Amino acid sequence: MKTSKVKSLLAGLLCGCAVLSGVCVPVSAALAGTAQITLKDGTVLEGEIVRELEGIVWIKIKSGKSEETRMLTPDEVKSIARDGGATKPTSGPTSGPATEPKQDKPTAPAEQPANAPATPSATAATPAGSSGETQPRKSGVPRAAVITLGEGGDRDKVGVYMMAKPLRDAIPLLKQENVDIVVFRINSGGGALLEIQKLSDVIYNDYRKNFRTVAWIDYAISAAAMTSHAIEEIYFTPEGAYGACTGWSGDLVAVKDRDLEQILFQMEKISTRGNHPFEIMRAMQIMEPLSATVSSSGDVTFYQDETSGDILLNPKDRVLTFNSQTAAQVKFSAGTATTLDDLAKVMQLPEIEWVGVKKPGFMWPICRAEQMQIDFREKTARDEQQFDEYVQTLNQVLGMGQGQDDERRAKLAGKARECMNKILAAVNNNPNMAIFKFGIMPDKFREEWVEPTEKKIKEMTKKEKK
Amino acid sequence: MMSVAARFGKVWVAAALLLASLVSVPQAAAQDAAPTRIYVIDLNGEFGYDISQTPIRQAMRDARNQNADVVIVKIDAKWERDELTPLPDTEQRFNELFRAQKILPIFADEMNREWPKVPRVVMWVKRAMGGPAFIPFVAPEIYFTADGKMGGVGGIGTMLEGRGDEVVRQKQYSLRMARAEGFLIRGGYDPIIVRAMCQPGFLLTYRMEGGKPIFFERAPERPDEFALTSGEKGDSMQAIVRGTTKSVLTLDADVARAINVSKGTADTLDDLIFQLNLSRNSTIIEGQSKRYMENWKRDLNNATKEIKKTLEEMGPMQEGGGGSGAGNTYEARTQARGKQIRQLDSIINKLKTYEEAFGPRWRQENQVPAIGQLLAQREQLELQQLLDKK
Repeated sequence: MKTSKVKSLLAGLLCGCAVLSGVCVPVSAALAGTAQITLKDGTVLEGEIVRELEGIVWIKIKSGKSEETRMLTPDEVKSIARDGGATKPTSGPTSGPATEPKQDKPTAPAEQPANAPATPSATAATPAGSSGETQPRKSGVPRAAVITLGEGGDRDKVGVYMMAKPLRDAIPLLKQENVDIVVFRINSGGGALLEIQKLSDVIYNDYRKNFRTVAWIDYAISAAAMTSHAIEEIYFTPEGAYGACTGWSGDLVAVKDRDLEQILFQMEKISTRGNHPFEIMRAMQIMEPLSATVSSSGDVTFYQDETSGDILLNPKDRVLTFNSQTAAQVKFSAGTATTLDDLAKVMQLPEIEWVGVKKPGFMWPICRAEQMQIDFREKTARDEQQFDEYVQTLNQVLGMGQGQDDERRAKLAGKARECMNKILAAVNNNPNMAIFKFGIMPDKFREEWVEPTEKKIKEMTKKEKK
Repeated sequence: MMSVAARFGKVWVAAALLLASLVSVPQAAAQDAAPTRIYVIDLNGEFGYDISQTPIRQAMRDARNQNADVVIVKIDAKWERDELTPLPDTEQRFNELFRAQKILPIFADEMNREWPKVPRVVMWVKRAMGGPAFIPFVAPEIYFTADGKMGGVGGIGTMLEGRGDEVVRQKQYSLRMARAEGFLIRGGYDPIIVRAMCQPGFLLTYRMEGGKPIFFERAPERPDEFALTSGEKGDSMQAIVRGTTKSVLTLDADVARAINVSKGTADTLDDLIFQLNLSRNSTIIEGQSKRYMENWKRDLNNATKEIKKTLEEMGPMQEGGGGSGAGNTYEARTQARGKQIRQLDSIINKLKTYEEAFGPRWRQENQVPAIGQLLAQREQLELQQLLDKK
């Protein structure tokens, strides 16, 4: 696996970094140690640099009892002082501390924090003959994968088609394919609030700590925007939309009182994860005004009224949804991209290797992790379409047993078991089906539904005493 | 046998000739540049039924296979309640955006993905009212016919009145508006235009500066400023009947031209080609687009007839629960159920094949149950068969 390979190579690297300079892709394992990062706006952050890639730095900051990892782009960083030694950002990728970097190809944005210790390429040899065979890494060229969250149309609901489980399951596949950058292409009109925290946790705790994690917004509405909010680096398609996060149920009835306060608080915390001003999400959740001013140096200040800022983003009686222009105007979006090439440009990556296989009908290569998401949605769609039919048939069959002879009851029991197994398979693939279809929490599903149903089926097969 | 020198000599001559021919190619090309290949797609009929993604996609693929340089898409969608009653411009059909969304990618992402060289797409508007109003915006070049109209997509701020809580209604309006704005941004148009088209009461004014329109969300304040909408939420009956409503923006040829949405007005294809500056050296491709559109309409009509006929045939049997009436033998009942299952399968297959056109409105008009209901009926028949006794 990539991590262990990197760690084993690390000892050798620290002794011979001069030899290895020029082929490095800095990774977290090499970077442990305290550092002081001065941002261009003057802010100084102290913490542990846990990862560096393409000039982007992840720094773990302690604040009281809590700990937060922040991702800083080269644009934000003025200088980095590692263990007391200040350095200035340089252009071009980083390598060994005492050596002049000799990169084959420029891979980093114009400004880079300097002096990251050189590390070996993260290329991990995949066992020959395994299905995890990957193309060899091109030296210094980052490998990126596109993962879709929702695919629009009928397959876009958060909590049904966009879930934490398949996303977490995909991480080993991304590591197998030596992926450095994960681009989440979001296309969802929203869904269940209950999945937001789980998705946010996977993105923040697992993805952002392992990969440069980017959102590419096509349509992120409501729960889909709230999910994407844990990502700091956000790009839009020209037609991209992001927001409208008001919680509701039934016939457009709003979430109110304590429940509302809880969601607002939850999103304040998720805003911190994504390093987004909380006022933005608040204006997307409730009818609160929002205006902003962009200073000549490019800093954006948000105001929770209509008049203090130069740009009116949301009037007082509206709910905010960004389009690609407004998002870029206030720097919520780091750029607008129609194609993969455009995206690489706005991400300031002169060279990039998109991982996966080109397939007709897809704008990006399909990597294994993405195929997993597609398969998951496909199975969920099939189950969703037929779930009600399984349940209806099962209930009918269970009610038909009385008065039938043994032979027919056995036939009915067989049919009932077939339906139950289909329901079980659907819930195994997508645990939230238990909630949406039966109102049962997934961890209680066996106890509260499967076992009683099994009991009923067994009773059907009992032979009647003559 | 040929000597080495002679062989070399021949090779040199051949090489020189080849080189000469290669050198001369660009000159010839410059003199007789290949004509620009124009492909025309006519979208007419009912939006979402006749005008649907499958035939449009087929036509665009044909255009690609025929190496079209320019694709002209003429939109003339039906805009009538029935044959005698045209719909007013103020009809609130915003939600047809979600139907248009199935078609828009064909002229956007799919084109980028599937064409080796992306063609110049020209939208030519005769009647783009309701959902079709969003389609032209995805292309940077729009032309109108003299009587062309684009609009009928009001409803933002009004369509959900009386339902639920205000904040949720605002959320719904906001997400819809942002999506519509996105398509204008993609095509290079000012998104404020679509806000005026969709939101009754949105006051929009413009003036020209340096050949470009500047928009204001207020009433005109100078003589060179013009109101595009009234700022009122409704219109008088006289205005509705005369087609002069201003509560929402309806683009006609003149207004569209004035605010640079339309690049020109053309009533005939020749005129349009002239305005596109292609009349000197272009050729119109005899493509299959007309055939695809006609076949689609024919297939839909045939499928509708067949489904209705099958449902009529099945009617009494459905009520009889699979033909289990007294006097029938087990074999007869089994046969009857088998027939019903085949009939249901036939309907279900057709509904799936033409799912994109057979929406809720079509089902209601033709009294066709939803697929889920038909599947349940099918399952019911299988259960009856399971329990039937000889």
